[in-house]
Amino acid sequence: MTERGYRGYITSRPVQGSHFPQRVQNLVVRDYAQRRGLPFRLSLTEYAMPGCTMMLETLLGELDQLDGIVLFSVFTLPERRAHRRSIFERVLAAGKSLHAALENLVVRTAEDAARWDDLIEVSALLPATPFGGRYEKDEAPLGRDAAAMLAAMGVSG
Amino acid sequence: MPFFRDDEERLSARFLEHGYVIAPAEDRAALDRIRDFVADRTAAFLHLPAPVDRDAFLNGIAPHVGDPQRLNDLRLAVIDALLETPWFREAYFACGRSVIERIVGNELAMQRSIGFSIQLPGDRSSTLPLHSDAWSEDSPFEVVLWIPLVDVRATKGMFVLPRHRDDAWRSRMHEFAGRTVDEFYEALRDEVEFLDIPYGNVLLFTHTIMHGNLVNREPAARWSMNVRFKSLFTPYSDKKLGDFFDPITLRAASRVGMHYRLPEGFDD
Repeated sequence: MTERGYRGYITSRPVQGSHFPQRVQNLVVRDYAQRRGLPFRLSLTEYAMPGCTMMLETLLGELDQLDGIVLFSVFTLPERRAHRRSIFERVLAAGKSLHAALENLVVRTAEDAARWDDLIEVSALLPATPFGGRYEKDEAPLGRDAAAMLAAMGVSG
Repeated sequence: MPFFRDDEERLSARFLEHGYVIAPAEDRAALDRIRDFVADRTAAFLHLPAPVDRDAFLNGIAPHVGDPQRLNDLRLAVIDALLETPWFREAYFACGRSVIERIVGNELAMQRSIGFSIQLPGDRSSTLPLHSDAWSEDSPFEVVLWIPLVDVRATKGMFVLPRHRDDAWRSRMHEFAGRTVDEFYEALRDEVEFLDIPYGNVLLFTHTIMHGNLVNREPAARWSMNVRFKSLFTPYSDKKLGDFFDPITLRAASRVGMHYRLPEGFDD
């Protein structure tokens, strides 16, 4: 391993609907790097505007001076699949690695990238599945339409 | 359930009534491979010669382990070794695949890590009080594939409150507000079942039913593993897709649907 190190990538936007303070994101990223023995350099923070990836582009442009990038989460990558794929291709073509600290995942091969893609695509689909893909531990755990949904499925409440 | 086969109906009925099913490991070679790997890694960790009779070795591990800290270090070392082994997760799934598919479905998410328990005779540090996982971070749509690496019975294994009794006790739980878990357990202890599971079998249960374990009063050590599975497209709770689960059998039709886009470019 060279001593070029890894840069972190955190975000100013919600990640899967949850806001994580940037200080917390940085702790997660640093802890991941430390546990993996990755020499860590500072994180860059993506702008808050939806869809904006300027900071990520900046990091990708620095790849020749880095060993890789540690994302706060897989779900900080662009939603558009073609855009994500181009990012994976750039990282792999440069012989570098892409890490996701929250999920403890790494992309080193095209197969790894395909697994990340599945994960992101399925997660994006969950809100469109029955009960919105989410079990809330409150008075309506399956949502307000649960009774109608269960009736339609022929399941007694 | 007219669309189910008879075997599916029977298995579903058992699961719905009891909250669990016990079945022979579907891929016994895979289970043996895991058990042998665990025994060999344990021997290496403890600086012991590689065991010949691995079953006897695992059952009789207690004198070699010592204090609870070393036991936990051993447990973590075995977990790390298993998770770094490329065939492990596939082998684990192979042990219970058809049961999982009949109870849960065939488009699945699997826990990325593993629960691993070593419970030495008389050890009070490894007990797990009565609980339901649905009361913490887990979705009630998950099931647990629990696999012993040795024969388990009585307090060497785990207890469950079968589903038909769990319903009744859950509705009474509020009566114990302000009291302890132990008091709650004492109230229902006559209704729990300690599961006898010979090595070579697997247990699939819904962690919504109350379960736990006591101090192991049997003369040999319990070794067991547990991994959660759920239907990929059912609701998640705080153990989410990505950090806790990953898709393992995403089907072709779902891939087509996920990536399909309607023709674009039509303007009003």
